[in-house]
Amino acid sequence: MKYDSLERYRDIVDDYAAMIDALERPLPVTGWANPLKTSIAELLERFDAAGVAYRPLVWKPDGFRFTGPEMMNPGRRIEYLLGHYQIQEEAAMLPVALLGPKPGDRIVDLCAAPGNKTAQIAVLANNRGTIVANDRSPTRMRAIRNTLDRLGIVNVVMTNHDAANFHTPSQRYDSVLADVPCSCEGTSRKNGDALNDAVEETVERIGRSQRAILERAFRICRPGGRVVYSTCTYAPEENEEVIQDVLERIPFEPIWVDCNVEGFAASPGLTTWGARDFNPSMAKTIRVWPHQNDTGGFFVAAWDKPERW
Amino acid sequence: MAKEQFEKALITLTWEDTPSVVGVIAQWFGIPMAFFEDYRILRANPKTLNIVNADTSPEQRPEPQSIGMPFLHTDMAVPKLTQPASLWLGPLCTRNIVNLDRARAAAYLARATVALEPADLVECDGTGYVMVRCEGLSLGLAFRHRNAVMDLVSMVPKAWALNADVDPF
Repeated sequence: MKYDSLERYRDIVDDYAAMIDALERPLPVTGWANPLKTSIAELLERFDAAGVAYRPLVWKPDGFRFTGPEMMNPGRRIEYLLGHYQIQEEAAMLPVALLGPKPGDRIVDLCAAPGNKTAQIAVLANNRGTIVANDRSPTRMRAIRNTLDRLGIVNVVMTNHDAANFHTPSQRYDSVLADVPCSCEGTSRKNGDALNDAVEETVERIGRSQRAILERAFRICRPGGRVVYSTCTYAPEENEEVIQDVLERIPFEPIWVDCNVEGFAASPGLTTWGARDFNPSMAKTIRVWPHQNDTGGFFVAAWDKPERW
Repeated sequence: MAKEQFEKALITLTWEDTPSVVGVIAQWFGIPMAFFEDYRILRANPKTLNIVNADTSPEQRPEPQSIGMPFLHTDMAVPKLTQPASLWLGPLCTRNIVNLDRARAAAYLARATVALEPADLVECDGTGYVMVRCEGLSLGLAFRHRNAVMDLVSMVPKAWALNADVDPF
């Protein structure tokens, strides 16, 4: 009953029973050290001294997973209050890892709220360059502000605009993150309401927006720059189908980036769904199923824009 | 970034002279002025100045709602560093620092006024705004009144405060 809406994925999950089993468990609490204020070594030293139980993330040197009682209130520790670490779901850390921000870059996060990925970008850019945090919702922008302030981030420009109609900049962006609004099925371990039978309606409603945002991302990225598309849903209609449709509309073939990250298990994106075949390079995108790394569900795709565009 | 490009982008925001804004703060807390060379100050709204890295180049459209970090509250008798700016600059401070033990630090974070002891004031020779530290961590600003120098008035904003029953250590 509870997982009826996931039945349609049974044939594309490597181990459906393991996935359902994972969905029954609480979502682990993970985070990363903020190098603007401390180092992962210093942070873990403080955790050790305070008896905080954790284990490092295999694929992300500055990441960790709480394994003790701090899981219940990770935001109450002094290190959190002072911005020495940020809480973020492990799978949600992937898009920025693939974006690869560098100091001095001009980067836009088109759908930024609540701001975790913007913060990740700003920190990796070492508080340099221009990081634009855009979100359509003015009320959700407050969450971005709070996160940036606590972490000591100064290089972010906040804008409040429809991502699908984001202005073409005078100087195109070095990279663009399109972490688009979605049906959020992959967040069911922290939000039980995320799974319902209305996914198809949601897909219909937001599909146009997802396509428009991804197309816009390609347009405002500079030649040679990078575009990352991500969702927290399993629905191929919001992932591979969106990408296929957009790639058929834009006037260039982007260079596909292999999204596999060493130390983090994932499945390749689908090259076929129902009656539809996709670009074979779709296998370079990744689907993250909850049981593979004990995370939420996620999808990530990345491309480099050809130099001549 | 070209200064003209940046200024052109800021339709509703205006620049301040960075050294004159940060000079008093740098002197009071013993922060090297050189630290601020990579940053610029702008007026975000009538009450607040923001600080931003000097190589930022925002676009005119969409119009920025905010640039950089809230830095200084200017709508008070003595301008006060914002909480994010206090936490950011705290580790750089070399004077007017008050050191608290954990119990009083927790009370300070819960916005209580705490009683000082002479040993807390080894790095503090002034009244007015002081930086609060505990075990090397900078926690934010407090105020020492001239006529009650052994009382430390917490300046932790309500939105950043802890409940009194929370032990953050």
